[in-house]
Amino acid sequence: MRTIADHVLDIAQNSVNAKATYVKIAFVEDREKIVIKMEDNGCGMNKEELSKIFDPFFTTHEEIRRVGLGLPFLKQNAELTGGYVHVSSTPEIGTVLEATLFKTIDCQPTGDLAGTFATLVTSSTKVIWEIQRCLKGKCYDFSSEVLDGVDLSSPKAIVAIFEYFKNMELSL
Amino acid sequence: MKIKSLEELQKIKEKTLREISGRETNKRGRIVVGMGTCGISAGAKDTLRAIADELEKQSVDDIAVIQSGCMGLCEVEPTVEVQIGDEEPVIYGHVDEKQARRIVREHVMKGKILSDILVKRGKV
Repeated sequence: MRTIADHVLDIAQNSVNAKATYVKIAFVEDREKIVIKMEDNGCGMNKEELSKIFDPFFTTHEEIRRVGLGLPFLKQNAELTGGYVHVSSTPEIGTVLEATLFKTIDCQPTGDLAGTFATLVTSSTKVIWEIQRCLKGKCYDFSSEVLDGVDLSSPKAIVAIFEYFKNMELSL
Repeated sequence: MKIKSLEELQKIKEKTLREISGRETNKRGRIVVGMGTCGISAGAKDTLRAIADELEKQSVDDIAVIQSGCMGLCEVEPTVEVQIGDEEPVIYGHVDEKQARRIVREHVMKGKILSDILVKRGKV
C-alpha cells in the first residue's frame, strides 16, 4: 500500500466481508497526525481470532482467496510513525478499529481519499456507509442513505459519486 | 459538471432513477474490477474510475461496473473481467487507466479482444 487512503479502502472491505450492513469511518487529519476510526456491525471476532489479526497471512476465509496482509501492513506503517492500531471486537456485535499515524518523515501520504470513499460507497448496496472527513478543523459528513435506490453499477452513478467526493475534498 | 453539495448529488440521484425507470434495466454486459488487497495496492481504484469515466464519456450505459475481491491473479493486478452477453468472460491484467479506457473503446464498443493484455478466457 502506497498511501493511507489505500489502507482505508482495504481495511474497510474487511467489514463488508464480515457481512456488516453499517460501516462508519472517521478520518481526522491535522498538522501533526491522522486519526482513523472505523466501526462496523459485522460478525465480529472472538478472542482467539482477535489475537491473530496482526499476523501476516492470517485470514478466516479458507474457501475464497484472501491475502491476510491488510491489518499487518497498516500496523507496520502506523508504528513506523510512532503511532498505533487498536482493534476491539465482539462476536455478533461488530468491530472497532482505531489508528493513529503521526506525520513524521516515515508517514505515508494521505493519498486519494476521495477515490477511496467513492470506491467504498459504490462497492455494495448492502452497506450503509457513514463517512466523516476532517482536515485541519474543517469537516464534511456523508451517509450513503441518500443513494438508496440508485443503481451503483451504473457508470453514470459511479462517475457522479467520484466527482462528489473529489469536490468535497477540494472544499476542505 | 461540478458537484459541490449533497443537494446536487441528490438531484443526480433523482434524474438517474427517472432515467432507469424509463428503460429496460437488464444490461448488455458487465465489467468486474478486482478490488482485493493486491488490486488496491496495484492501483485498481484508478482503474475503476477510468472504466466508469470512459463508459460515461462514450455514452455506454448498458454495462454494469462491479467490484469483486481478489480473483487469484495477484501477479497481474489490476485485473478486469469483461463479459458481454453470453460470451465467455475475458480477463485482462495490468489494467492501468490507459488500458482501462482502451478496454471500453475496443472490447466493449467494438467487440475486439485485446490480446496484448489478455490473461485468460473463461471463468476464473
